Amino acid sequence: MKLAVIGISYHTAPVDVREKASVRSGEVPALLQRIKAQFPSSELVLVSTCNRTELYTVGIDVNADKHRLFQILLKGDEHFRADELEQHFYVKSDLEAAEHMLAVASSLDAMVVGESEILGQVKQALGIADEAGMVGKVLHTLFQRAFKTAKRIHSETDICRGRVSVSSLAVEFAEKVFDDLSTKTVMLVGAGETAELALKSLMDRGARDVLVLNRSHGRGQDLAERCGGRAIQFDLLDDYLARADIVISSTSAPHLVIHAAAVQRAIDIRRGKPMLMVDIAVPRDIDPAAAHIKNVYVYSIDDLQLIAAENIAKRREAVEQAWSIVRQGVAEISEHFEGGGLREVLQKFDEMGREVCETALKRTLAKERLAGLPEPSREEIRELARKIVGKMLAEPREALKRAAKNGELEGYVRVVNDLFGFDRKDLKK
Amino acid sequence: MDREFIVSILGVGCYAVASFLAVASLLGFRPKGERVAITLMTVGGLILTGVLVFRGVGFTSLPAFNRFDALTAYALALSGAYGFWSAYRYTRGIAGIVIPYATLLLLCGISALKLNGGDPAPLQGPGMIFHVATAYAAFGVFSLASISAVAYLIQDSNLKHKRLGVVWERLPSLETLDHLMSRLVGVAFLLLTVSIIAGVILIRSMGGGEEWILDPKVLATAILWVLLAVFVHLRASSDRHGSGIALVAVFGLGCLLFAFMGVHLIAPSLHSFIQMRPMVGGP
Repeated sequence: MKLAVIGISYHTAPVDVREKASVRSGEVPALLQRIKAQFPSSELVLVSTCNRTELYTVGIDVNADKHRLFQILLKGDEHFRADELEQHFYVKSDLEAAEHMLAVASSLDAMVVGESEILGQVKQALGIADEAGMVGKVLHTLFQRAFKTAKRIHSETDICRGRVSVSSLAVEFAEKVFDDLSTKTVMLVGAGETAELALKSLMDRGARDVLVLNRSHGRGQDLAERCGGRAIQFDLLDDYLARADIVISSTSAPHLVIHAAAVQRAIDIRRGKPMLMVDIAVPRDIDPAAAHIKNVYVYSIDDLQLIAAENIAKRREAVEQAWSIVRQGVAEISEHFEGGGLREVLQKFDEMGREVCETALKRTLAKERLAGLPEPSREEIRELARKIVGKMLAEPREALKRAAKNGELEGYVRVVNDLFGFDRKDLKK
Repeated sequence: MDREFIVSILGVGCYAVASFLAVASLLGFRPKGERVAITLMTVGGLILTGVLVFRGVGFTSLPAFNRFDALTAYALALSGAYGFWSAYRYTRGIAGIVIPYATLLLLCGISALKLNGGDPAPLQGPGMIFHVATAYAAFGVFSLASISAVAYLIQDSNLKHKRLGVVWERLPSLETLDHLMSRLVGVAFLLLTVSIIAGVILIRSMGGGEEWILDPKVLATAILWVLLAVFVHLRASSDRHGSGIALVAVFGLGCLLFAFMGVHLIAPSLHSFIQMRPMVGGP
């Protein structure tokens, strides 16, 4: 099938090299056109994310042309020596490339195993290449199989279960407390980096009303402007607490910032409406006693890290199961691309054997001196002839099956067609 | 075994299998089992509705005055409320509580299939049908509200104690459950009010007096109505939310079960569907 992948990822290259090969989605069609101009009969899909840039090809001899492709992917950057390029880029072909695609789409090759964004990115990459007219039958089939495999892995294993970052866990908890984040108020106490990430994740899921309280009001205002929220004076914290559905606290204060009594007052004003409080600070900002107040759900950094660690462990357990699904997917791809050819050539073998056997038997048994041969003896001769032909063809049949498994069927089929004249016979027919 | 019994067992069997699938789905053993469970519950519900209609036609009276009829009608009202609500709102996971509860009711009822209803209802006709139907609908809808409250308390406990397992994952958010609870209690309150008014009109029309007002079942239902009124007030006027109000809804289920069945174990009632005389006649 001449499938190949040539790529660079966080496994093989640091970010300063990866960013040179990174391609924005708007630039992908032009880059694919450039490659297509050099390899007109090829099929192409380019997957470019922050962790990888990979070119999936059909119809290109990547081993022979890899340096040309390296240069195209690096957009002509000639600072790298050949051995550096060899070190940073990887090339895989046929079933190995197919297995890589399935692993990438299923997030088994991701930095955070099980993260689901990669599947969307791969789908987008296929869409862009398809629109640019770069996708043929082989890549289309490969990517569809990859999506199917990823879907199976997501539904049948625990690989995607449980979030593994503090920000995503905050979102997960928020979604289990509240129905619609767009109507909720998020209060950010302190402007730490992790808290900002958590806020961004919440805003990605619809949260709009943001209150930012920071000891340095100016810094708070900057953050509020960036996220479209309002900056509030830090000493008004207790007054505004009742308005907040979600509180994310990450100050560097050496003492408690939000006391249980203030939380109790807030929840009384809220008439029991639930309140989610995420304390990312060390030492803690939120009084641990607040966790005992009804309808208040407090999570400290230790809670979040413990949950994240448990989820990572669960994902690791699921990795082996996921790989076995990938292997099944690869076997299906192999069957799809090579099984059809194998069946066809084996069928031709059978037909040829039958034809040779029947023709020889017909001629032999028609001879006058065998005319008196009783029917059981004739049947024995027929059986013997069939066995001889079968034995002769058994080893070539097995060799063809082995070749199909190893991805070498194409070459074998060419030789077999030539040796037995199958093509010429087909033409005659 | 007669046909009615076999068909009833078939209906209850559908519920039993649905319960198994719904619980397995809630516990994460068969994540996609809930949809099949709801389908099976619907099939079982249709079969049992057929049985009730058949019995009603056979007895030429409302099929609501026998333990089997009453519990089956109650379970069907609950299932109907759930089926209707789940089509409009996100209620994933709740099936794992609703269907087993309905199955339990049906199993309690099936043992009384061969028992006759009590005295025929003094009034048959559209007024009686309306009174009984709205009462059962109110019971079904309120039971669903209470089950949402149970789910709320489970989810609250999971969040408080950081038990983030499959049940936590499968049940809806606290806010969804809170909305569901309050809407359903509102609907149940309305239905029960209408049913009580219809009952009063019926008593007036038959010239009934104090014996009806002091009937234990009427008193127990009045207590339930007051509880629903308190709940509606807490939500509509005081805007109360959270686990406290969920506890009120769960307590309400206890009151409902007492008003529906428990009261008959304590004192004789004019609403005599719990009587257990052997069946005489019928289809």
